[in-house]
Amino acid sequence: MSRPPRILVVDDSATVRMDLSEILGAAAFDVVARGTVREARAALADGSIDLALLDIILPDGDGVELLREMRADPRTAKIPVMLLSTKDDVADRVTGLVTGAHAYLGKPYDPVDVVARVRLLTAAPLPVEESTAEPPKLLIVDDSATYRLTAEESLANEGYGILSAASGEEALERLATDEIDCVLLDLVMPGLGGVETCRRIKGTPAWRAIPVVMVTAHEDSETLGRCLGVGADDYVTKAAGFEVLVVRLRAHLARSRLEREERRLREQILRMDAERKLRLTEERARLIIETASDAFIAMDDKGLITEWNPAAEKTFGRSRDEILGRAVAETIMPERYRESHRNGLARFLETGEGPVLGKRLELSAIHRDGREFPIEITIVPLEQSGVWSFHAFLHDISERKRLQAELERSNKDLEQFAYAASHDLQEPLRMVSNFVQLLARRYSGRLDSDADEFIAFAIDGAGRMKAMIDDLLDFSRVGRRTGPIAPIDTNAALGQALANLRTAIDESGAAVTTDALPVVVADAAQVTRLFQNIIGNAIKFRGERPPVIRIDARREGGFQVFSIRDNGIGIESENLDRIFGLFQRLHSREDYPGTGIGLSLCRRIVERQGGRIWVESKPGEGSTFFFTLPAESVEGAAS
Amino acid sequence: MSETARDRPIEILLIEDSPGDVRLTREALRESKMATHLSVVGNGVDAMDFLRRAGKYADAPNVDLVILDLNLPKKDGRQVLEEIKSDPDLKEKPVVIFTTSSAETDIRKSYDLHANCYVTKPMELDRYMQVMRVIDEFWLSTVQLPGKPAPG
Repeated sequence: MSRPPRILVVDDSATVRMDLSEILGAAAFDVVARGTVREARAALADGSIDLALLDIILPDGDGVELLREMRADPRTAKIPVMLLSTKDDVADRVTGLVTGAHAYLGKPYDPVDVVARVRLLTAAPLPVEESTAEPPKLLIVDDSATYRLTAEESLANEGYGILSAASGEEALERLATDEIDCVLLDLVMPGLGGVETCRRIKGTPAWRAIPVVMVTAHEDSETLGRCLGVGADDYVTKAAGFEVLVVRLRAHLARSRLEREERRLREQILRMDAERKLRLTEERARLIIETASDAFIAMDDKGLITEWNPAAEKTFGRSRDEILGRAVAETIMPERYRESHRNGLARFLETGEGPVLGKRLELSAIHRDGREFPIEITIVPLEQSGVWSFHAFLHDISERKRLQAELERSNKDLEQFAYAASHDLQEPLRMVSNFVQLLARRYSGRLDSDADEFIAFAIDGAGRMKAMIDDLLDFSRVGRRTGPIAPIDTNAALGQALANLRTAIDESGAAVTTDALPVVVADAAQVTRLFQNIIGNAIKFRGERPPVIRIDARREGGFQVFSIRDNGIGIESENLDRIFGLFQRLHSREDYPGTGIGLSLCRRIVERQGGRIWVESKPGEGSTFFFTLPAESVEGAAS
Repeated sequence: MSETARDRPIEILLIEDSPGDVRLTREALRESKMATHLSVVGNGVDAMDFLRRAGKYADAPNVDLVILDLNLPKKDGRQVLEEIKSDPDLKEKPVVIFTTSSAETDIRKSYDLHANCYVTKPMELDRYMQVMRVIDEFWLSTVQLPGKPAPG
């Protein structure tokens, strides 16, 4: 069906018409809404309606009547019909279904249910009258051959297919071999009696829905109770005659048909829903893969390519058509990897061991033009009904590699520059410094007081410049020269730092406390330097009170997070980042001497080890410096 | 011994291309208690000629102590040191390396080449003076070495 299914909605309520038009319209159905039987007839006349939704009570007639008309007319006989009614009455349903409606929709209806049912009926229209093709089968169970014959004769006009059984045992056999729609069961029989037979029918899941009508000789409440107790759906007395039986049977058959229909519908809806969800999932997965910026490649257990998305086409310069079915090893893999790739694949299939699977790897790949380029790739194995396949997302990291190399080079250049500059600056500075000092030594007090002052300024300037150059050299050395990176005891590093700071600690009356500190993987001398600079600052930038300094550490993932808390003057929040910059100072040299290299050196030390450094502070209350250093790995600790 | 040392000034050869350092050395020696005579050459080639009293340095005095900068034009200080220490006539002369380089490789290499002393040029004038005193004392102890004829 190329055009959308056209749905005729017939309801006298404009609200319902609008609502259903909206619901079905949103589900891409073409909706024709009418308010009367007359209008509905006109709409049906052009033969374009695929399904009709009929309200039962209409201003100029009723839906069941219209349905009957439709079924009588060969042009409309096969149009699926759903009945709509506010009266959630079984009678309406029965009438509707007997007349040939496919489904019944009670108001208020669930929009999702409406759409599902409409979709179901239009996508796979049901045979119009299942029961006309195959008449309902009635099983008459009675030990009396006379009764069986009479019953068969009396019910023959109803158009049922009639089977009979002379005993409960035989009835169960028939049920096992034939599709029975209703059982007429004599209560009193030799052998398996009616009650027991009924109990067994109702106790068998496949038969439970088949209506069982008990036929009794007497209408007493005890018998009745026994029948209903074992699950019989109804009972009639033989004395009541076949007229009553016919009506009862009609009702039961209609009801069971309705129930069966609903069950079937529900199952179909569930199945459709599951299929739709699966389709959606597949669709979504396909969409993700198709639009991914990463190349997506799948490979079967023979190493042949089975999936290749547009990003892969772009990354490798090879179209999907040319690459599918070809071996990964022979197309996109550099020669030097091929053997280990084949071995790895074979080993995985044999042992299930795949050390590279599920991990982010940096490898190289070959472009169609023969160029080799670096990639980052994650390969995930997937088993479907015993067959392995391998799925990989990857992307070209040439640019990243290039930038990395550039950054490294530029860092190195910078270090070399800092080193060379500071080293070469030392020479002229030494001249300035020494001669100014010689000047002071020889002529101090022999010129005038201005001259003495000028000389003093020159000496001071040269001294500060020397300090900065020394610091700069230190700074560049952190990158240029590192001691061994090994597990070290930070208690020892802290001890050394405190020993170096002994004078400052004693003079300030500082109290430094800590508990046992962890092992980290770093250069011991640099960690000592780190502690020394931060604790030295805590002492230097103390307030009125004697410094109280607390050092702690806690593990966080692969790092140890150290904290050094003080009760010093603190730092204004706008300066928190600035303090780690090279030669950044927040105070005048008169108040707090120093070049302003200490914390930038700390940052450099920490970052060289892959860690971070930051500070939290409240002016007037104190600061807490945090830094992270690589923790000792668990495996490392065990070995 | 110091009596003998005072008989004539200690003859020092400074091999240094930086006029500032030459002047500083001269000033520092002026303040020294020792009687010294300083000769200066600015490159390694002249230095070797001076020590061997070759060419224009035929009349050069007999050097008691060499102060050698490592970074020199024409012939590098490291090479000068090597030549002095491998020359049978010169190898006994005490050589003090006086340089800005505090690189470990330079220090180690200098001692490997039998430099007698390695001094990094100081930033502070006071230290400069101190270094000169160290050199004085060093010379005094050197001339006391056994087998070495006392000067004069």
